[in-house]
Amino acid sequence: MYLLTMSAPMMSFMLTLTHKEKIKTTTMQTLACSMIFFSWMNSSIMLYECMMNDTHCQTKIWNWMKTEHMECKISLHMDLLSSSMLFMVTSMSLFVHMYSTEYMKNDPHKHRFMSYLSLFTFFMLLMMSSNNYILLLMGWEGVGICSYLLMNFWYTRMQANKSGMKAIMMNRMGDIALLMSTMMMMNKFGSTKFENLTHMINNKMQTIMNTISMLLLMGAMGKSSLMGLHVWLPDAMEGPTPMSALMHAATMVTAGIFLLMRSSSILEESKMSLTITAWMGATTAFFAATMGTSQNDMKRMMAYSTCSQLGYMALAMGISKYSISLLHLMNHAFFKSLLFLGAGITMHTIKNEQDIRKLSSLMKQTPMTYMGLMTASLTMTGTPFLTAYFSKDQMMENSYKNSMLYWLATITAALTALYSTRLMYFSFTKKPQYTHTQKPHTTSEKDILMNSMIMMLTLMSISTGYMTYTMLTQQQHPLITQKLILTPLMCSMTTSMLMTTLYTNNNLHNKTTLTTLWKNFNSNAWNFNTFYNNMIGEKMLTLAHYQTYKHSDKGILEKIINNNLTNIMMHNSQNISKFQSTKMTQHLLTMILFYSSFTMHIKSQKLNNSVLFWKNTGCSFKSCLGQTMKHNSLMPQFAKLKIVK
Amino acid sequence: MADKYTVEDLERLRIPLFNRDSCVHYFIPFIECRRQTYFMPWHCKEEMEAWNHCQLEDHYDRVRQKRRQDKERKKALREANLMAESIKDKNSNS
Repeated sequence: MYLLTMSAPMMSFMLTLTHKEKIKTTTMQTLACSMIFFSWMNSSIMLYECMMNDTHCQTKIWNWMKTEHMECKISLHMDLLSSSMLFMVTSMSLFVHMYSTEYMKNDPHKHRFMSYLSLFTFFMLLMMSSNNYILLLMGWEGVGICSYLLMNFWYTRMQANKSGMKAIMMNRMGDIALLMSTMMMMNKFGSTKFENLTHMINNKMQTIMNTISMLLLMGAMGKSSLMGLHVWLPDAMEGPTPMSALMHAATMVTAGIFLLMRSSSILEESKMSLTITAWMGATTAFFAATMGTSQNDMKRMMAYSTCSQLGYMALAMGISKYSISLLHLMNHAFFKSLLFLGAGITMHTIKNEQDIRKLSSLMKQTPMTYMGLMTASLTMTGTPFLTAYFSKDQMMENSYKNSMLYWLATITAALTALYSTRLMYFSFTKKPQYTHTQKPHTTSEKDILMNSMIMMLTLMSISTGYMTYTMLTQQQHPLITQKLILTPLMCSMTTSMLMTTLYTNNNLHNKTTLTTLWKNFNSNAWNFNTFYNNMIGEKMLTLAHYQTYKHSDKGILEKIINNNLTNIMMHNSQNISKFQSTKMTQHLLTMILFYSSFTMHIKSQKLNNSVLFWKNTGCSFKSCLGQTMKHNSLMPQFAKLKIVK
Repeated sequence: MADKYTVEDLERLRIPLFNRDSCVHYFIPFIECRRQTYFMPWHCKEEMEAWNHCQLEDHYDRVRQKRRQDKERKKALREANLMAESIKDKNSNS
């Protein structure tokens, strides 16, 4: 069953990519969706097994490599973490596959799109169910490749190419860190299997544990776009919206968080990395939320929101609350996908417009999408009894051990409410501002499949948190005062109401210099891109041009290789080529010379062998017999016979 | 009450390690109820209340114990300081 769950998306990928001319589009789409549905069914059974029966199992598929120092098997590991992630990934993939059949119906390359989605699902499943770091790394890299392919799906667009390259470059840093940590584990422990590592690690190896956990954290930073390596995520919104919903909201960006959860036994041995993770998470959540408040592009705003929520998850892990982090991860997947898929419908309504200043009063045109997006926004702000409330609330309560972290998370909650309200107000309730040419066409909400996906995700955004918090968290709430429990909630609710009042009364048009500066600073994403371009990109380019290219490649190497070595080679080859003339006598001479030298060489070798043979047989009979008994296989057969005689 | 369960019992009942504390005798009926009702959150309210109450009482006990220990430690320190001062005075007088 485990193997079937994994192989179904792979089969879907193979069929949709290779048989695109033979299979009809509708058949291909049905096939892809049914394969993912099959995978989802299996993962639901696995979740039931792991959750209700507390089982965990390992399935060996084959021995990949076996060396003197280590052994690597391709085997799958199924426990509560894997099965929850598998269920979440297959659910999201199913929703996105079905949504894409309608969304991409006018695209000439929908075969390619569907096949990439299936391939991405396969690599995600491989990563989630691996039982060692090498297999996890394979899935990790595969996911990265699929991310690039999907981001660059409309490859004729220059911006898509740029964003794809940027994502690959930023992710590579994290990938290298993960690779280094895997190599270090192999070197120090001789195994990369999760179970073995859990039993092998101890307090005595503090420096090694610190290094490995920091490298793992860096790996997670790249994939989960935590502060520092986050710049690729907003640019990744160049790809099709269903892809953004699947990868940059629900699944791929959570891979880093999953890695940290999986490596919890290693992280727990290093207090330093736990503290860094918590602070990294809190600062990421805060700064991404501030950037989200000043964005005008709908999808970029959602990308920063994702970044902020990932920060929350990292914060929960930094305070050793892995189950709460997992709960938030699952909840986030549902409400963020709803936001993205809803944004897709909104964009289709007003001719692919993403700027929220140009969208307005869409409530009448797209009432169902409005309802869905409203639910997702309220969930994201942590409205009581909606999905995110159950995870966010617990996260805030538990972070009070360090009051700075708690207050940072609380301010972030208020900022989340701010940008959610801004998004909803500008897109749906503001008075119409569009010109006659941009007037929305009212047919966008007639796609039944897309609407049903929105409906289902809305229901899940309301209920998932309530249904799953008892399953995933078996821990007590920390004992803190009622005031502290209610503060984040009050902050976010007050901000929402205040912003709505200010927007409706048009009181936000008085711009001061300070607010303009703050807004520019935020909309430029805290100048991270400028910093990377000026301080790293340009410096590296200068270094590469002057040192590597001009001085080394075209300088020293050119002088040594091109001027000297090449000349010698040219001279010699010219001399040798003189032998290849059209004169018959020369050819005959060469042949005779070669034949005579070859014969001489063979003869001299035979002479040497015979000398050696007589040397060996020249010794005493007993020692020779002993040698033959010892090195029976090494001695020539005829020599043995002679010795016996 | 929690002592009546052996490690084997807890293993058999599949109780997570972090829940094997002094309130485990309340946790066991709670988790059993949860498993029987497929973890549906609207069930097992009474069992959960009992477990929560036990955890809270346990927490208060630990806080009281900690305060008592702190008080005793401070008292012992104060007495030791007084003793040291009196010895110092005696030495200086002699």
